[in-house]
Amino acid sequence: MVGAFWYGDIVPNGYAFPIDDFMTTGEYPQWSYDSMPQSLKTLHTWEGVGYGVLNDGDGQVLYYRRDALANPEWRADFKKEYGYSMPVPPKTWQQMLDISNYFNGKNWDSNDPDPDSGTVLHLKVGEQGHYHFQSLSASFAITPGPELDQHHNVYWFDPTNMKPLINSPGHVAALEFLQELHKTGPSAQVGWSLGEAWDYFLRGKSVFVFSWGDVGSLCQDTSRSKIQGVCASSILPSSDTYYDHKDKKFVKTTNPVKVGNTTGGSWHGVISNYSANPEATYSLLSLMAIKPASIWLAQNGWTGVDPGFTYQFLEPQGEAGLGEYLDAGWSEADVKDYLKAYYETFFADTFLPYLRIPGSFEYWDILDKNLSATMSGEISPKQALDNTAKTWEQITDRLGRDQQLGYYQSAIGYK
Amino acid sequence: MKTHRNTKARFVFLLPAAVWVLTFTIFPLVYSLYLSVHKVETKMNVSREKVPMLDASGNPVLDAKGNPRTKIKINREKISTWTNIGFTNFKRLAEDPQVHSAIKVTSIFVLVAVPSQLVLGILLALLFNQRLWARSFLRAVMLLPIFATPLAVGYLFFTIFYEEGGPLGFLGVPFLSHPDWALFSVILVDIWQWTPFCFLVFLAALQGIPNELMEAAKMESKSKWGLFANIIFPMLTPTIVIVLLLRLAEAIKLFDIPFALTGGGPGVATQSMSFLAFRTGLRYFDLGYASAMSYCLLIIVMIIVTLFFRKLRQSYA
Amino acid sequence: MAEVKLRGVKKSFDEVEVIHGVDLEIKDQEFVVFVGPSGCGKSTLLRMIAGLEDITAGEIYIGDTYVNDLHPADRGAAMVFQSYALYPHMSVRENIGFGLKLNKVPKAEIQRKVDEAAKILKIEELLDRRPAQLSGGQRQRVAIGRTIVREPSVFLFDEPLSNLDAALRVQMRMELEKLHANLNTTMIYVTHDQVEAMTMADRIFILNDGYVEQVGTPLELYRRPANIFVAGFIGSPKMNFLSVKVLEINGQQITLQLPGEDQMQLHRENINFRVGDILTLGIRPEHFELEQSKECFLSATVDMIERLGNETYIYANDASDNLLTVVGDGELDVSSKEKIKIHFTTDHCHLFGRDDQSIQ
Repeated sequence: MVGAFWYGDIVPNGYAFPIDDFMTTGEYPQWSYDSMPQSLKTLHTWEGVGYGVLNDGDGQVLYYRRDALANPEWRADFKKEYGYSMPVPPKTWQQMLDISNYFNGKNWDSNDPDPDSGTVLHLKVGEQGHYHFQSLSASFAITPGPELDQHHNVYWFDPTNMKPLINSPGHVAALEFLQELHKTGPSAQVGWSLGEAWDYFLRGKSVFVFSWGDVGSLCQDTSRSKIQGVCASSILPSSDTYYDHKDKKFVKTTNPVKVGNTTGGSWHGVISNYSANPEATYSLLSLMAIKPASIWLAQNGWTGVDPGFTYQFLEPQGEAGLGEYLDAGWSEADVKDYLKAYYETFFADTFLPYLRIPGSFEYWDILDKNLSATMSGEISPKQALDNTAKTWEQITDRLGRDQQLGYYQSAIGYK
Repeated sequence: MKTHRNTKARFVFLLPAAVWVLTFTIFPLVYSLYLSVHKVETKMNVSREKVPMLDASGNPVLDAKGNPRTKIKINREKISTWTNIGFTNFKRLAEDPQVHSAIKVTSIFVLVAVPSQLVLGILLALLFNQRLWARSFLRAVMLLPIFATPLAVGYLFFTIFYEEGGPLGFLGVPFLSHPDWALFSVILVDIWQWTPFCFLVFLAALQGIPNELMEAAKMESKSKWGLFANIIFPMLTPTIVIVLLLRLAEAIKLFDIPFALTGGGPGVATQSMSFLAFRTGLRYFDLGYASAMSYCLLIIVMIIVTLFFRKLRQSYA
Repeated sequence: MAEVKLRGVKKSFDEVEVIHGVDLEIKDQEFVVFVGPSGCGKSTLLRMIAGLEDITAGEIYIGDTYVNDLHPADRGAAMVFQSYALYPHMSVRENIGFGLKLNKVPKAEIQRKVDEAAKILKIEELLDRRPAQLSGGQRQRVAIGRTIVREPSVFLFDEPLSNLDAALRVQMRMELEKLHANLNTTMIYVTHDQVEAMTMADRIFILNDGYVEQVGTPLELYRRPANIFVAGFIGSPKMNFLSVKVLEINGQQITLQLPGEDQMQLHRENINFRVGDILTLGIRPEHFELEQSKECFLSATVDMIERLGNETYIYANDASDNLLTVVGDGELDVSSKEKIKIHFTTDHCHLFGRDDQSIQ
């Protein structure tokens, strides 16, 4: 099982076994890359060759409490305070922050007598904090455009010279925003990883969490969740202001584009070239990639496998029937929202590019440490991202700028 | 003739120990030094061929149509290129803010945790060296932390320091979410775990001070502090030096508690030198740089240990 | 310089009482020895005077001061321990001056006092050494020096010589006596060795099982032991004890049946026994003689002979198979298995009743 960000470290060095030949023989359980959105298919291949066997689809969506946001009393009060109707779901990050701020510190549900929070985050260093930042900052830092070029639809590096974009004003604005959002949640979340943050949301302690597909399916597990049936989801909001890398200025928009993401690892099987028996390995991995296994894995939260494939999406976008989910114990309202949110996220026109180059983990880990230092108040967002950019330059130089540039260009499809 | 045979026998008996030390101490030491001045790039050249599938007795396996079945054999050729890069990695150490931060974190940890453990250990030993209610029971309880696995202790304290509804949650202290508090929490856990060890050794040392000696001193002065400063402390000094040395060497290696408790964070607030070396070597696979870090740490420890042994020898002389 | 008084002093460890109400008075400048077998409570008593053990009941006075509640350092007592208890990390000079230093005596005065004590004890050349570099005798002197400089009103010695070899012990014994003569201070000395007690003491307190058995000068104890315990404890070799039967009482004249056929007559004033009672007769080995010149005798068979040169110890079995010890002169002509008659005078006989008390 590998994360998509490992490809740059394992494929060019000759450790991964290509599977295209196996897929066409017909001797193994049949699945196809066509079952995946293009965004996920990219993560399973390298320079046009298939390596990964379908298993898990990662991407972050917004989860919110349907009951809290629909409550007429809160809605009226919110309108009085903020001067506009609470949009459900929020279309922009800024609206989401207002709502989160509004609910934070109020005891807005009856699960317990204590005040609840707005948004819960998993920010522990060395864990999943930087993924939050990636998903959130995408709509702040990506300049949308019809094509991917030097300035449009890029996020990590300048595709002409590998200069980091990570400390661009858009990224800095996003990190400043994340700090504001952090204030609407428990301060302890700086030291929290997935488990603690999810548990907080599942116990009904926060209105929002934006995270992976696990949350949606865990909401249905009543042994852990108090919120089945009110666990709504949507594609992540977008920022009403984005940074234009070409004109070097912020652009305000009333109708921001939706930005999809495949944030995470999309963990799946890749056969090692050390395998003594690649045929048997492929056979087992394929068995778990076909519909009956895959949909079962996605329906159960504890598996850690999240949806993203046609046979997990509801008709007409996909092949799954609503009944299959209802039989598995899902709430109808929740599952409809959930699969729609993921469909929109994986099929969005504008997309957070995935960093698939040698050293991806190291680049991310440096980002992660600096983000964590910011969230705990040690350094400012600007300083954190400047530090990150500086260290990234050193990593790039150490690994070889030309080589890195080549891999980066091909990973994001820059021509 | 007899001497000759003895020499041979000695050699045979020493051999396992020598092989052990060479294999597991000397070799890694030399290898990591070599590694630290090289850039290692490993690639594999791979080719695949179809070979006939054979059954257990070596006969070809046939498919339904009677044709021999084949399977894929992967031929690998591993190519490692070692480029000598001189002391580049050591220069990186000097300039790397992460290294500076890790040295700072490690130093603060060592300078706060170790003296606290020693002082608390001595105080507890003095307390338990008197007649005390339920002494042997309390002593046994006191020693329990020694028997806990550091990693498990880290996870345990993660629960104890849990800020939303944990047992200490009512204090409102950001144990793990504030950089300074997080380092303090790591120190606290280390003190919890290692004070008993210091206590145990000091208690043994105190009980090794002859009773009559203390009585003689007691008859000469009623100043408890005077007795402690002039009799107990000087007599404990050799033990203190040993314990200090052991604790220093151990504390400088700080890894398991932040690994389990804070993940080195928030930010890099609890990222120790060992932790950073671990991440660099086994997460970024930058083994050369990690080796350089480890060597840096080794040299620091060796300097401290040497100084202490010199001091110890003086105090015995 | 002070007298020491104990009134009804008791000591219990947990539930067990080990000192059962001791009253004693030690005069100013007296050299007193507490002697008794192991576990008799002599050290405990000394440590209670020193303040190292709590007092369960009773009162202790040093001089006119009631010291029960005083810290050991405030009682004006200084103590020499069996193990010497020197501070191993200090030089001899520091060891001797330690108490003064802690009590904030000026440095010059410490120096003067230490030098003075070192001179008395003849250890001037050892002052810069560490205890580990000293012999047992030298350590002992340092330990004494440490007490001298404090100029205590009472010196306490807890078996100070028992770690020394025999020759050194004799020497130190004399020096301690001289020291007492020089310092003219009250000294209380604890030992299990009756020779030390006899040679050094002005008065001896004999303790047994937490009771004071008898108090007196060495010769009083030797001559008139109050009971079998004291009689047996004082004197070396140990007093011989024989079971004797009262055959006849004629006024103050009594006839006793000795083991075997022999009989003897004794004069006693307190006749608190009757004909037929079994009493104990005690005679010291040195009061037995083999020459046929005395009033009484016992028949016995020689079992073993030890010749010490100046004197000879003869171990012989009487008719009842009691082992008797006889001390004779060095040239004594006697051989093993020989039948002998052991002679003695009634003056040297100690008679003890059934309550073990001496019958006068």
